[in-house]
Amino acid sequence: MRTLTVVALALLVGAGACPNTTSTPPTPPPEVGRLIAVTRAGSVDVEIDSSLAPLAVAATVKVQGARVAGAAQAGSAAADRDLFKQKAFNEEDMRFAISDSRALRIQRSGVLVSIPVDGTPTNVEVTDITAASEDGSEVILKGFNGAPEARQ
Amino acid sequence: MSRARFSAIFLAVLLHAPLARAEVILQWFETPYAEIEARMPEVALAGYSALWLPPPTKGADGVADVGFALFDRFDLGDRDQRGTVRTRYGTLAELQSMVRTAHRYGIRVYFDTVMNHNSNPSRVEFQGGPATPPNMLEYPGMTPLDFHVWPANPTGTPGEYNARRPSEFGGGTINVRPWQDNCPANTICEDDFIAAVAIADIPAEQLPPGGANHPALQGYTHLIRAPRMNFGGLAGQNWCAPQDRGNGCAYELLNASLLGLIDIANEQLADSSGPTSGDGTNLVTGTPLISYVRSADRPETYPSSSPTAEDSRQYLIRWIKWLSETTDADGFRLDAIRHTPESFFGEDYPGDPVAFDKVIQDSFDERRGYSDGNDDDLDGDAAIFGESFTGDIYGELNSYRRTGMRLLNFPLFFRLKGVFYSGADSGDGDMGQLSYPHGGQTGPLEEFGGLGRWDGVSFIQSHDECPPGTPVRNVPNCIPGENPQDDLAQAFITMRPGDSVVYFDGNNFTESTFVRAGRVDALGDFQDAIVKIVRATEDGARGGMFNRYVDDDAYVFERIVDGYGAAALVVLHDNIKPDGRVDGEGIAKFGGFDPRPLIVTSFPPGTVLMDLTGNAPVGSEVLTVLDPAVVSQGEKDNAYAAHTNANGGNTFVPPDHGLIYFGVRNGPVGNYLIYAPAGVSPQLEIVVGGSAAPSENVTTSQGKVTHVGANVPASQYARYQVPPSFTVRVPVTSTVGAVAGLTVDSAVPAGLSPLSATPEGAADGMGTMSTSGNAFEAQLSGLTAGEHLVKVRVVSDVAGAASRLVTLRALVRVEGVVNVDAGVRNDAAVDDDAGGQQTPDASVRDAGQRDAAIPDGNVVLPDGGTPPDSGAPADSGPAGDQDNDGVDDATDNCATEPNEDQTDFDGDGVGNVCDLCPATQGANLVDEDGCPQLPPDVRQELDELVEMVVGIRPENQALDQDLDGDLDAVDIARAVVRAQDRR
Repeated sequence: MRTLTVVALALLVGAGACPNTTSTPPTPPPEVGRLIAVTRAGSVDVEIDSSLAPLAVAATVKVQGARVAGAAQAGSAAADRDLFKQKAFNEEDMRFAISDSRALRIQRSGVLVSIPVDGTPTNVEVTDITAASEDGSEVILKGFNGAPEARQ
Repeated sequence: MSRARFSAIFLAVLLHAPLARAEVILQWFETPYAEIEARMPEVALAGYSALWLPPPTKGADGVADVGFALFDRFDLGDRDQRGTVRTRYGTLAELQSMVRTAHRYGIRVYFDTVMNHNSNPSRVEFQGGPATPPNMLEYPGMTPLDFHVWPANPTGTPGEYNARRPSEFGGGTINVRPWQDNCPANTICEDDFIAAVAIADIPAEQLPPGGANHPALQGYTHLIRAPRMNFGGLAGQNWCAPQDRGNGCAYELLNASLLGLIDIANEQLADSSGPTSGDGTNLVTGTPLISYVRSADRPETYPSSSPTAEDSRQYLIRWIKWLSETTDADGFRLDAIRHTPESFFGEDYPGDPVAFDKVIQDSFDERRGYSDGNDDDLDGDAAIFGESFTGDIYGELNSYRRTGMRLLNFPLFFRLKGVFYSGADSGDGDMGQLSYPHGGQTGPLEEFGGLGRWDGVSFIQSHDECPPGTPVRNVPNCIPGENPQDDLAQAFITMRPGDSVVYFDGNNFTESTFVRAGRVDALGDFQDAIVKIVRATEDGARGGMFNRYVDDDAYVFERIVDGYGAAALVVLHDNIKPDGRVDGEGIAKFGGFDPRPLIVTSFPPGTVLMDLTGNAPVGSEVLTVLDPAVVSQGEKDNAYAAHTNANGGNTFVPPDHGLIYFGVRNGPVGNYLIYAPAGVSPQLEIVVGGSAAPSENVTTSQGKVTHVGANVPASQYARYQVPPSFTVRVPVTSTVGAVAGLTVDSAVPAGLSPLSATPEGAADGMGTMSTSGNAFEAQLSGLTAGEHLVKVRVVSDVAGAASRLVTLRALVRVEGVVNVDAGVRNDAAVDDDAGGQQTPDASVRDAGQRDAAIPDGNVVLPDGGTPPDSGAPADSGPAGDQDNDGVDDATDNCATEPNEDQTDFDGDGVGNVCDLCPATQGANLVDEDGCPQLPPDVRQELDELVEMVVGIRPENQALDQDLDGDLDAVDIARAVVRAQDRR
């Protein structure tokens, strides 16, 4: 059948162009979504918008123009997930990681973490993101760098 | 209409099964009978024709037992045993009510059936269960000699025996040391669950004549369980097909225990290759098959309520007849068939009077009032399909197929594991392999790398297996709904000839690898991709299967009904990689370059086709088949060349064929299309007094859906409110050459005469609808109050035009008073139907209730999202009952959410509404969320790893799971998966 398929392709191509079907470069991790920052009253919320529900996410959040006022909390997309740790580098930055020892995945959309702030941030960066799916393979969530949109 | 007459007609229609039309079976596990019954309208509206449910018998682990560790085969949830009256799924009364409701909606019910092993009290089926040896004296209705046991003497070393080896394993004695890791020669060490019983302790009535002096036992003091043997075989002897037995090849499973369960000794092989036996006596060992009265306390389980002596085979035959009658099942899936010889199942084995399959069929015929001379033509037959994890098509599967059962198509399942990987040009990634052997309706057993199309029941995932796209097999769950190419694979197996399965777990996810997670959208929750495939299958999967285009990434085929023409055109395309083979609009390319191929079709030129999947890109939703005369010669040449390639070099093209252009989306979502002739309204019109009847949207119960997010909406379906008399209408483009049949709850309503001799017999037995302009109509009257399913099938056969078959359904609620304007149901009028059956309303929550119960994605939970460890209190409420559900907090299994009924499906002490893992199995200890607890040291290691990832603990590179030098989320995820595997 393989031979026959090649014959058919040649006939279909007609002019002689041959599709390159032999190159197999390393496959990068798939990009499945993004993390964005928004502001709500008294907080900067990092929200997830993903086509895949990850099992683990880690990221660093840098807040400019406002002061991180306390410990972050897991949001609705990660409620009840029992592996949630954070480190506040200084009054502008914090790094967090979220997962669940019971293999309950993080939801595809919603608030991932909510960071209490004093003031109105002028810019938020969400960087150094790593994420993994339920089978332990890496997936890509895009980061964020800009003025966060204000939401109710 | 009287109830009796209604039922009689119902049976006649229900049993009608047109030849060669496949059914899609919904395998539905992990769900209580009451919930299944409540969702039965959804099953019917989705177009499923049958349910495959778990074993209904009481399991050794009580309510935690999925059912495969069978304890008492005569306990269907009506005896207080193993700590519970109900089984995992409910009581016998709930089972019977569910089956009645299924039948009312025209749904057949198949139960999983364990006929060859028992378990007591071991929980070896479940991870984490104790490896307790079964006590061979405590099996209801059975004795040790009913099992595969070997006479043995203790050697003096605890747990070690010298056992008499059966002659089929070479005879003599063999040393059994289950405790030893490094196994010496001529010794069995594999089995961890060996159990011994002293012959002196066995009641005399359970021993053969002569008791311990019987030749089979003489000189031995104990019986030990036949050791569990590796699938690789015993002492270098591998599993072999039945026809090879006796030729130096052992059959390790027929005489051995299964995963700690114990096989029942029902072998009765009558050919010369096995342990040949005459009726009632094993001729190799000389041991009579023990015969005694087994269920003296349950005379109602015997024919004529008269207990009689039976050997184990007769016992199983009586049981399956009783089970058939008590459940009113329409068939059975047979578990682990190769633990039982084929002679047990089939007829015509000399010296063997039992035939398990035939008993099932005879009971089915008797209950349905059916006279059926052919139990294997899929017409008026019970469904019987067996499970065997093997690709041995010629040997093992063929021998079991000959007994009258069909087989779960494991050979095809294994093949599909590697077919849908995109981008590959050869080997496993070659989807063109599906096209073998280039057409035909039925074929030899090896067809498609699996069973013959009608010999197998196809599936892509099950309670045991993840779907083909799953990259890692042993993940805790199968990443429901996110496996690449799941939909594509499902579309293939359902649209090819033969029956197929969609696997559903009710969205009651478990954290165990058994039972695995199913399709979250099997009933239309979250998305309707699967439902559309099932509906398309019901109407379009008819007749033979013929290739139209084949390459490594694409397969296009047609279903064609002999004498009627094409029924459906199916397009599958698996190239989802962004490797330059996709155009800028997300349209997949055929052959790597052509986003809009031209192919040959058997649909006549001028036929208007519509895509039934909803996946067609803009411009391809509705297509008109082209006359070849209007297509350029160059394009035609390419199309014919592709067709020749798809058919193994055969240049034949169908007479009066057409040509068609189409496009298909780049995957992994929506990369398949199913086209069928247009011309029938996509939904029924329910008319009251000249106006459209009001309808309400019923929001479904959708399980816990923990893994896909509780903020994702469940599906809804429309339910029309009607008085006892109303009109059903189906607009069509033309009624010429067409007929339409109608049933209500699978019966012909009063006033309509049954159809006969309809095209393909597809509407035979349904009530005749009249024509009214370009529509079919039927006036219905006298319907009883309650919910009813209206089903209409339009079929047409016009010379020169495409044949057409469309099935439509609508759910109506007949009420005494209907508020036409408001479109709101009159609750005061709601009542059960005349038959007193449970209506879904008691269990199906409406949209308002669902919103209250499940927070949406932007709602911060009462504890503010604080991790559970912080122990933040929930809302305050009245002292002692904070959720005001009438259950005191001290005894409330979910004190923070109202749950008056205290439903706790998995019996872990955490009520369903609080349970993040509502179907936990076999766990001795669960956390406050109802999930199995990890060992403290494992949990601590995970905590420390997460702390390392965020930088509050120095890194320990020993925890670098992927060896990339960094500790990050990937390492966390992999550590979690490993921890779950170790649990």
